[in-house]
Amino acid sequence: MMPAAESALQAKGLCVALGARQVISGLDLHLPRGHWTCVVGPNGAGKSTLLKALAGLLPSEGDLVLHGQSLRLMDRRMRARALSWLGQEQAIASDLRVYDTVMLGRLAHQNWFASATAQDEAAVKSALEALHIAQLRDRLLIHLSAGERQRVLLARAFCTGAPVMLLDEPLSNLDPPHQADCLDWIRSACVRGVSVVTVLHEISMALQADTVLVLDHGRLVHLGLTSDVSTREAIENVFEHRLHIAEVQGQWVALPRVGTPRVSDPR
Amino acid sequence: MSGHKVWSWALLFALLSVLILVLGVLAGGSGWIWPWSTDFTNADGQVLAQILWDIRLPRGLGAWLAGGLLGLAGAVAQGLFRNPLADPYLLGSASGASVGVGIYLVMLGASVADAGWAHHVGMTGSAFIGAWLAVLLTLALAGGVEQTLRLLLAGVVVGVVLGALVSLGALMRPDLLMAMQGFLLGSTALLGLQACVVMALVLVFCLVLAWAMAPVLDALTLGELTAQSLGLHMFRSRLILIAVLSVATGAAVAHTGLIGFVGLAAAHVVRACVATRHGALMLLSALVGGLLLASADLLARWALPSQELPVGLFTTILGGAYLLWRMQTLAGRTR
Repeated sequence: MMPAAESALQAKGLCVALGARQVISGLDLHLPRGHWTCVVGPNGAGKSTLLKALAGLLPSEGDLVLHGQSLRLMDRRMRARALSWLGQEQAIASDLRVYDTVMLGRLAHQNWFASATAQDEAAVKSALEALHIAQLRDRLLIHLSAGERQRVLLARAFCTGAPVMLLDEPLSNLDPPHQADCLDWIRSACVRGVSVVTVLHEISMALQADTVLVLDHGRLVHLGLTSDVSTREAIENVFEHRLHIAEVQGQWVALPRVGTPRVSDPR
Repeated sequence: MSGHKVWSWALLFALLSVLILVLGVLAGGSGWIWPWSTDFTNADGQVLAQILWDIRLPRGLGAWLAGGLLGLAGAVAQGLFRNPLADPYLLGSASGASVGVGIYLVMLGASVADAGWAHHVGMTGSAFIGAWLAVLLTLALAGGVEQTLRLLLAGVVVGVVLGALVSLGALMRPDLLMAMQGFLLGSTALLGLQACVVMALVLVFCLVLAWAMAPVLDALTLGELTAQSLGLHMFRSRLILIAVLSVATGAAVAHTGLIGFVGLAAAHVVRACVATRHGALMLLSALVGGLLLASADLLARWALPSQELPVGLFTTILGGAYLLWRMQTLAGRTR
C-alpha cells in the first residue's frame, strides 16, 4: 500500500502518442513529496516517454499537477525552477567547458544579460563537489570520458535546486563508486524534501528506491513500496520471471535467471 | 580565467584588423600613399585624398564589416543547427540572392558596362530581397522553425533548385552570366560609405540579438529537449536566431556577392584559439570574419600588380587551407 503523503507531482489520465503509436495510455499517478520513485519495465514499455511527458516536454493528454498547480499552465521558467529533467541525450559534441555546462542548470534562475549570482555559483560548486568533478571544471565536455560526462550532466540537473527531479538512467556509464555517490545524493535530496523519479534498467539499483512504478506497454502495472512483496512480484512478472529478486545482506538484489543451454541447439 | 582569455583574443583580433585596415588604406592599385608626407592642398593631393578616404577606406571597412556579418552568421548557424559544417548560406540565401540579381539584370537588360551607382544599389537591393525570399521559402517548406532536420533539408532543396534556375538563366542568356560573375565570385570593389553605414548598423543589431540568444545556443549543445527543460522558449528563440542569421547573411551578400568560407571558417578559428560559450564565440567570430575578409581583400588587390582578383577566390583559398590544416591537426590528435 502507498502511504498517503503530500503530492509533489500528479498525473491523471495521462496519454502520450508518438506518431500513430499510443505509448502511454490513461496513466494515473501520485508521486509523494520527499520520495524516490523508480520506474522499471521492459524495453519499449514507455519509461523515458513517461518521464518526458511528466516534464512537459512532449505533447500529452490528461492532467498534470505539480505542487498543486497545473503543469500546462505554468510559465516555462517557473516550471524549470520547479522541475529538473535529465534525459538520455548524450552531449558528446558539446564544446562547452564543464563549469559552463553545469551552470546551464541555473539558467531559469538568471535574467537575460545578467551574470551568475553568488547563489548560482554556490549551487554549481556544491553540485561539482557532490559528484567529485570540481577538478574538471575547466575541461571541455568533448574531452571527457563517458562516465565523467555523465557526472557533469548529473551535476547540471542537481544544481537547479528544483523540488522535483526526473532522471532518465542517471547511473549509465558510472562505475560502482560513482553510482553510490549518485544514489547518496538522491537519498539526501529526498531527506531535504525533494521528490525524485528515476528510470533505471538495473533492477538491483531500482530496488534502492522508496517506491517502484512498474510499467508495461505504456500502462501502469504496479505502484508500491519497494519493501512490499507485491512490488517485487510485479517486477518479476513484468520481466516474465527471467529474473529473481533475493535478499542479500539486508538489500534486495535482482539476479537474472540464465537458461540452461539446449542440447538440441544446432550450434 | 576564460573571460580574460576571451578579451585577450578579442583585443588581438581587433588590433590585427586595424593593422589590415591601415595597410588597405595605404596600399592599393594606384600604389602606396603616405598621408603624413602628402600635400592634400593641391589638385593632385585632392585626388589622392579622394582615393584614400572615398575609395580605399570604405572598401577596407566594408570588407571588414561584411566579413564580420558572415563570421557572426556562421557561428549562429553552427550553434543553431548543432553542426560544425553549417555555414551562413545554409537556408538557401546565397542561391536566393543569385536569383534576385539574375532577375534584376534580365528585367533591366543590364550588362557588365553598367557599373554606375544606381546599378549597384539595384543589385544590392535585389540580392537582399532574393536572399530573404529564399529563406522564407525554406521556412515555408520546413513547416516552421521547430525541426532542425526539416529546416536543413528544406534549405538544401531551395539552394539546389534556385541554383539550377541560375544555371538555366545563364545557359539561356550567356551575357547574364558575364554580368553576374562579379557577384558570384564576390567583390568588395564597389563598397562605399553608405554600404558601410548599413552593414555597421546591421552588425550591431545582430550582435546584440545574438548575444541575448547566446544562452539558448549554449543549452542547445546539450540537446533540444534539455534546452526546452531549462525553461527556454525554443520556438521564439529559433525564430530570432534565424532572423539574425538571415539578416546578417542578406546584408553581407547584398553588398559583396557570394563570398565563401568566411562564415564557415571564422568560428573554427575562434574555437581553435579559445574554449568559450556562444556569447563570446559569436563576438570573436565576427572579429575573425572581419579580419579574414579584410585580409583577403588586401591580397586580392596586392596579388597581381595592375590587376585585381576576385576577393571570393582568396577567401576560398584562405578558408579552405585553414580547414584542411585544422582537419589534419584534429586527425593527428585522435590517432
